[in-house]
Amino acid sequence: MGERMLTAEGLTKEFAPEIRVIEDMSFSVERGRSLTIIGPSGCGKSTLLYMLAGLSRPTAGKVLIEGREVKGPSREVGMILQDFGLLPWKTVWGNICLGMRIRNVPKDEQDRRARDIIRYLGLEGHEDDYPSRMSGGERQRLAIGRALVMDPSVLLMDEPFSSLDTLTRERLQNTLLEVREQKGLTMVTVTHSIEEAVFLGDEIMVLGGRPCGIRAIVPNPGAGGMGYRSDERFFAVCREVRRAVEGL
Amino acid sequence: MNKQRLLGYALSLATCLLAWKVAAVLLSSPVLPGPEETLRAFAAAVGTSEFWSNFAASTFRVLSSIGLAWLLAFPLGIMIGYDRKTDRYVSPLIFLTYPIPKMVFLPVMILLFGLGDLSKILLITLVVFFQILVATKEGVSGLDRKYIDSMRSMGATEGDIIREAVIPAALPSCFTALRIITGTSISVLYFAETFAGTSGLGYMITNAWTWGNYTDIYVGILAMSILGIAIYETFTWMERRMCRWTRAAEDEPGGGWSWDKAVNYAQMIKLSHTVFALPFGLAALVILSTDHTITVEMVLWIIVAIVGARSAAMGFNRIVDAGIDSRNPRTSGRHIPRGTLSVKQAWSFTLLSAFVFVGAAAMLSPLCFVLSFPVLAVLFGYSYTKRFTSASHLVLGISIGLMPLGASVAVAGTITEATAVLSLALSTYIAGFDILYACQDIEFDRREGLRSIPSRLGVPAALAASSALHVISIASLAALYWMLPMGPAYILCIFLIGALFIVEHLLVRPSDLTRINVAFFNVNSIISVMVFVSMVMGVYLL
Repeated sequence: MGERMLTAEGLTKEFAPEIRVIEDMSFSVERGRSLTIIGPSGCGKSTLLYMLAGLSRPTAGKVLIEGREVKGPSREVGMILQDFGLLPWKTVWGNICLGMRIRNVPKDEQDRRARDIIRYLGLEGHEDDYPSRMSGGERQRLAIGRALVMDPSVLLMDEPFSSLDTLTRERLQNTLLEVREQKGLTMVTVTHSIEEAVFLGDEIMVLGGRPCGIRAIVPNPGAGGMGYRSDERFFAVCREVRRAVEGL
Repeated sequence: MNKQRLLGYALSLATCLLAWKVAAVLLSSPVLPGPEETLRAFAAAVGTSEFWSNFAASTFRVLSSIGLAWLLAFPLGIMIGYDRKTDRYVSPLIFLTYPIPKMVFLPVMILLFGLGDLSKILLITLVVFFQILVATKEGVSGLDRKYIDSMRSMGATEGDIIREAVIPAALPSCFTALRIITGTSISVLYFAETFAGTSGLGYMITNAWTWGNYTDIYVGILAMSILGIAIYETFTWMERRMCRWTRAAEDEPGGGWSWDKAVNYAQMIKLSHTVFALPFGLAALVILSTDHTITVEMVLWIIVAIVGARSAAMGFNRIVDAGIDSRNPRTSGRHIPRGTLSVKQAWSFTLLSAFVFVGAAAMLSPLCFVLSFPVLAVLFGYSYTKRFTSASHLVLGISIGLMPLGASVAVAGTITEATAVLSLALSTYIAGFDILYACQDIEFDRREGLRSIPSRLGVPAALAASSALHVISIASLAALYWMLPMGPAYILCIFLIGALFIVEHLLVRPSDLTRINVAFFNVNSIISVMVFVSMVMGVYLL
C-alpha cells in the first residue's frame, strides 16, 4: 500500500434539508494513482468533485489531502472543468498565467513557467490567440496547461474530453497518461464514457442511486500503458464496468 | 478605422447625399436645400467662431453626461449583476423607474439647477444612466458560473474574480449600450438646448428656424450628425481595443471588403466592356456641344449615370441569368455560378448602382430624374426578353442606344435629331454584334428554349442580319456628316469604321466561330473609340 494522497471520509452533501445529493461516501487514492468516477448524469459526480477541490463544503464528512483537511481551494489541487472554464477574454498566455497571477508568483517566474508549459504541450505560436480561435483539442491542452503550470500534486477533471472527437480525445488521453507518469500526479477524473474510465483509471468507481453513493469499485490493474486500448484485459474491465453501470 | 469601414462610410455617405438630392429635386422647396448648397453653407460656417463655440458647448455637454452616467452606472451594474443580494434590493427600484420618460423632468431640472450646463447635463445623464446600467447588468448576469468556479479553484479572491472575469464580461454589452446612447444623448441634448439657453447646436438650429434661415438649419443638423458619428466611432474604436476577443472568432480571412472582391464586382459587370458604350455617350456630348454649353459638372454626372446604369443592368442580368449561365459551359465560370459572389452581394451591388444612376440623373435635371425610372425598367426588362422573343438583340441595342438620348435630355432638355441618329447607329451596332455573340450559344439556346436570331434562323441567316444592322449603323453615322457642321476628317473616319466592320465580319464565318472572342473584342473596342474620335475630329477639326 502506498501513501494516501486524497481521502474522502463519510462525505455527505445536502443542498437543502431533505435534498441529499451525496450520502456517506468514503474512498481514497494513493499518491501517483488515478481514480475515475463514472455514473449516470445528474447523480452528483460534479458535486463530489467540487467538494474534493474545496469549492463546496460537505454537509458532513471531510476530504483530506496528504492527511490535512481541505477547507478551501488549495495550491496542491489543479482542476479542469467541463468545457474548460478558460476565460474567453484572455489569450493563451493570459489564461496560462492567470493562476500564477492570482497566487502572486513573481513576473519572471511566471514567464519562465508559462513558456515551459506552452512548449511542453505544443502550443507554441498560439501565445497571443484567444481560445475562440483554437480547435477543441488545442483548447483542452490549454486547460491542462493552465492546471499544470501551478505544479499541483492532485489533478481533478470533470468530463474533460466530452466535447472532442474520438481521435483528438484518444490523443489527449495519451498526453494525460504521459503527464501523470512524468509528474507523478494523482488524478481523479469524472467521465461518462466507460472506455475513458477504463483507459485512464487504476480504479473505476461506479456511482449511482439517489442520494448518490458508491455502487462498485472495479480494480483495473492493466491500466497505464498507451497500448492498453487493444489489450484483452481492457475489454474485460469495460464489460465489468458496463455490468456495474447497467445494474444500477 | 479600417478600409472596409471607410468604404462603407463613403458608400453610405454617397447614398445619403444622393437620396437628399433626389428629395430636394422632388420637393423643390427652400425648406429642403440640396446637399451642395448646404455643404457650401457648412464650409462657410466652419470659418466662424460662433459655430465653434456652439459646437464646443454641445460637445462638452454630451461628453460630460455620458461620462457621468458611465461612472455611476457601470460599477452599479457590475454590483447588481454579480452580487445576488444587491440585485434583490436594487433591481426592483430600477425596473420601477426605468420606464418613466426622463425627458419630462426637464422643467424640474431647470428649476433646480438653472438654465446653464448643469441642468442639461443632468437631464441627459438621467436618460442614459439606466441604459448603461441595464446593459452592464445583463452582461454580468450572462457570465457562466464555470469561469468563476475555475478561478475559485485557483484560489481567486472576489477582487480577482471581479477584475479578471466580471468586468471583461460586462464590457461588450456596456460598449453596445454606449453606442446606442450616443444617438439618444444627442437627441436629448437637442431638446434641452432648444428649450433653454443661448448656446449649443440645438440652439443654433432653433434660432435658424425662427429666422426662416433654412440652410442654417441643415448646417446645424450636419454638425450634430458629425458630433454623433465622432462619438460613436470613438466608442467603436475603444471597444475594438479593449474587447479584442469578441472579434477573434469572426476575424477570418476572406471576409469583408478587399481588392479581390472589388475586382470580382468589376469583372461581374465586365467593367472593361464599358469601352464599347461610353465612347458613344461622350460622342453624343461632342455633338451636343455644337449648339449647347456643356459644363464639367454635366460631363461628370453623365459619366456617373452611364456607369451606374450599365452596372445596374449588368448586375441584374447576371442575377436573372445565374441559372442559365451555370448550365452553359461558356458562361459557367461567371461569378455567381462559380460562387465568388453571392446572389445577395450581386443584388446589393445592383441596387446601389441603380441608386447611383437615379441620383446622378437627379443631379442633372428633374426631367432626367423622372425619366431615369422608365430607363431602368427597360434596362432590367431586357434580361427577360430572350425567354420569349428572338428580337432580344434589338432590345439590347435599344437599351444601350438610350445612352446618347439620355445625354441629350440632360444637356438640351430634349432629344435632338443628331443624337437620335447617333442612338440609331449605336443600337444597330450593339444589336449586330450581339447576334454574332449569340452564334456561339446556338445549340445551348435551342436546348434551353431560349430565343435568339441564330437559334431561330441558323448561323448564315444570323450573320446576314448582323451585316444588315451594321450597314444601318454605318449609314447612320455617315448621315451625321450632313446633319452637323462636320469637317472632311469625319468622312475619313467613317470610311475607317466601315473598314473595321468589314474586318469584323470577315473574322466570323459560319464554319468558324472560334474567333468571336479575342479578335472580335479588340475590333469592337476600336470601333467604339473611333466613333468618339471621329466626332471630335469632325466637329473640332473643321
